[in-house]
Amino acid sequence: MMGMGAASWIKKHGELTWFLVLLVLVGIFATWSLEEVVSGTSTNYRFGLPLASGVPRPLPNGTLVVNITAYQWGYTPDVIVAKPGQPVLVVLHSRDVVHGFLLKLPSGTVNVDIVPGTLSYVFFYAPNTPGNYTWRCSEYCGIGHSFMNGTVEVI
Amino acid sequence: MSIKDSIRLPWSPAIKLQQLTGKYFSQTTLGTSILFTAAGLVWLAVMGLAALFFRLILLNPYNTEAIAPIYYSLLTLHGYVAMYILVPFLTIGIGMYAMYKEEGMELTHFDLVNVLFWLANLGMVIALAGGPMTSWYITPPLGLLQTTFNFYSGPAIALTYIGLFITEACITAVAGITVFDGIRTRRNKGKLSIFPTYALTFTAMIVFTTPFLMATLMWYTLGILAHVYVNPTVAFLLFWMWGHPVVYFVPFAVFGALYAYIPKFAGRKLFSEKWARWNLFLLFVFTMLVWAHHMLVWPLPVWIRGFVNASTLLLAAGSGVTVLNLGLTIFLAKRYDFSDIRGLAYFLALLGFIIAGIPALILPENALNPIVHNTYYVVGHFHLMIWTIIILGSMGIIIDQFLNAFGRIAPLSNLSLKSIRAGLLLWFGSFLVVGFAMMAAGYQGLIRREIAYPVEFLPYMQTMTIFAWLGGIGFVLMAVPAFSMVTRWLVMKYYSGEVEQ
Amino acid sequence: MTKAGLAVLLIIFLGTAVMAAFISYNLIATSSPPFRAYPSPFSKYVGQPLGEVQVNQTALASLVVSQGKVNGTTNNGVILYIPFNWTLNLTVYNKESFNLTVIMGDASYTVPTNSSMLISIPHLSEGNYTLLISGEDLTYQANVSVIKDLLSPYVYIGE
Repeated sequence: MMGMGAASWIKKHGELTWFLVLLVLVGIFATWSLEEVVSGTSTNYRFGLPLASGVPRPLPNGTLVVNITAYQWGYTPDVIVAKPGQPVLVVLHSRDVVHGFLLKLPSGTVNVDIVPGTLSYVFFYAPNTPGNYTWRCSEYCGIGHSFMNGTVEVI
Repeated sequence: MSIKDSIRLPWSPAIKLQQLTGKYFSQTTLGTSILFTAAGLVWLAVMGLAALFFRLILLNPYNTEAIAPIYYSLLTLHGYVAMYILVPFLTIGIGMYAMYKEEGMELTHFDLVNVLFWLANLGMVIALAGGPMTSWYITPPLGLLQTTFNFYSGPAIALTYIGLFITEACITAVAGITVFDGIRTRRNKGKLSIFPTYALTFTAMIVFTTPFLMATLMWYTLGILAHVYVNPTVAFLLFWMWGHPVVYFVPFAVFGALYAYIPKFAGRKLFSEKWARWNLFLLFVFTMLVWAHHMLVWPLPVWIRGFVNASTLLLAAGSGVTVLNLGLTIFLAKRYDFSDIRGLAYFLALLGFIIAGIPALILPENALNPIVHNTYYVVGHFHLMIWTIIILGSMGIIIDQFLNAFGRIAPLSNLSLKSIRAGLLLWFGSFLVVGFAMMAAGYQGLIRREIAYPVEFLPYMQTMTIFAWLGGIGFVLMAVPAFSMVTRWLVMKYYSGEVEQ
Repeated sequence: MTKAGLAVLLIIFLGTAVMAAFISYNLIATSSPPFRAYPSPFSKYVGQPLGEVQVNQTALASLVVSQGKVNGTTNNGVILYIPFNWTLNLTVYNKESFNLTVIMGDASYTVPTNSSMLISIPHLSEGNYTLLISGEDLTYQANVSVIKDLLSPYVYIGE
């Protein structure tokens, strides 16, 4: 009896119910993601980044501003030396093709593309744990793509 | 005798041409649909072999630049063939078959379609002959640099894009002709049945979206030959206006077949035909809106990124409703007929679509996309889709096509049936492992399109390569019986003098 | 009720639940302390320059001199654009076998062979400066352009 009632309820309302559940999930996750991006609380992606509008204003005291040029196939400079917890602003510029900048930090992953003709901005707090953190190129840029990397030295 | 009589040729060119086209061109809708799907299988074998070889290269995490030209040429061939010719050929073949089988709709422009078919193939050969290493999706400005082509040099590198342009123009024309002829020759009244509804809608989508690709290709050609400036962001956006819809051509066409035939193998009607038909609008419209989600790490304004975050998730919700519809159909049935290899193929396609689709939900989340953008996570997701809903779904339809066309003169033996069944299962199981190995590695930071990578990812790469080769064996088990049917039919048609069905 | 159908439904529902949990975990794990909140995305801050930069802003640049080239370029290839009133912290890495002399304006620095030196020039005023780098086999002229209202410092490496 129960089985038959459940089956006929599913037949009448099953699809719609699941669609509404999915819509609620869409609402929750789209809003959550955007809220984190807009309020600047996402390590991976702050409001407006990689456009400059994601950079906090004014810059926190002691921000290290590093200007990096990406090219086929390397970065210059390819070392950033930061103190633990220091805010770092990286301004990225490409002199030839589209490159990427992927840096995995303990608090998240920064990953932006560097488009020639536009500056890309990355803002993060250097990890509190000293050590070397490697960034790699994440946008295929030619035969040297696999060999483009750099280091964040936190000391 | 007049002068005209004395110089008359022993044969008339027009009649000779007619004899040749009559003999070698397909003259039926069923035959033409097979022309496209069978050609698709051939191209699949080519790009699959390329992948199996470059996966061997990836077993070495310490590769140097020396191996890069070979690796990237194979990779580009793999991607070019998949997206520019395999997918549209399968879509068109499925569209033609669906309209013919379920509604008796017919092509009428056979000669034109055959010519366009061969021209499309020729265009692809011209494009590939340039040995492009530019990565399959021709990102500007990389795709415009001479140093990223193997054989063409100087202005001749434009031949790659001209070749692709020819291919895409022919494909667009064939897709348009298919839908146009089909509608004109429809005799039934009332609602179009569900398989051709979906298949022809996405064949028509070829016509709406491929012009964006053609515009991009023309822009590149002008960029190379006439030094017109190509703005990377605009060109990339223009490209993806095609580049996103294209991935739905085959899956949603296959869904038409799943809606039509899974109920048959389940022995009951589709759970909700109404939802299936309404869903089509959601899928069609949203497919065309979400393309910028491929550029979430590009310098785009926040409002675009917010829009694609939400719209992509809505599109996913639409897919979620689709699979529930089919899942309930199977669940509420008394039994599902797995003994028919088509029933098995369609079931695996459905299962695969769900397994491939759910992990993708992290991708449009703007706050999380950087974790996985351009890593193997993305590669795992879209390949799982390709291996299941696209290839296995198409295999189910192709088996149906071949049985329809050749089943009488070249039936499948028990051994063939066992081989196809084993192939379906081996392919599905092996590539599930590859897909999950890819996603696990990508989440941890393995970047795509690299020839050298951190050595901690080596076990993942080894797993991917081994199971990909196993999957390749699965393909052989499926393809050999299928090709043997075609071969036996061709032999009988052209060499034994038997009349074709 | 088929087992196959049950499997499909379970994968749909459980898969969705697992994915929701996975996404939630990642959103929480990668969130960090907030700093000053912004106006809504649709207002004027989108794409605007950094502006309002306080003093104590430092432009970090490095020039690598190696094999007769500076940052891979031959003469005049490097241009440094610095915002007005910023400090330039320029590190010159000398990978040649001879000493280098770096001259900017009135100041002159010697960078010994196989070493690096940090040259710090505070409170740059507007204008164009020549940065001359010379050594035994090398004469190189880089340019430093100090501009008011510049977005941020950036190094242009030409050729």
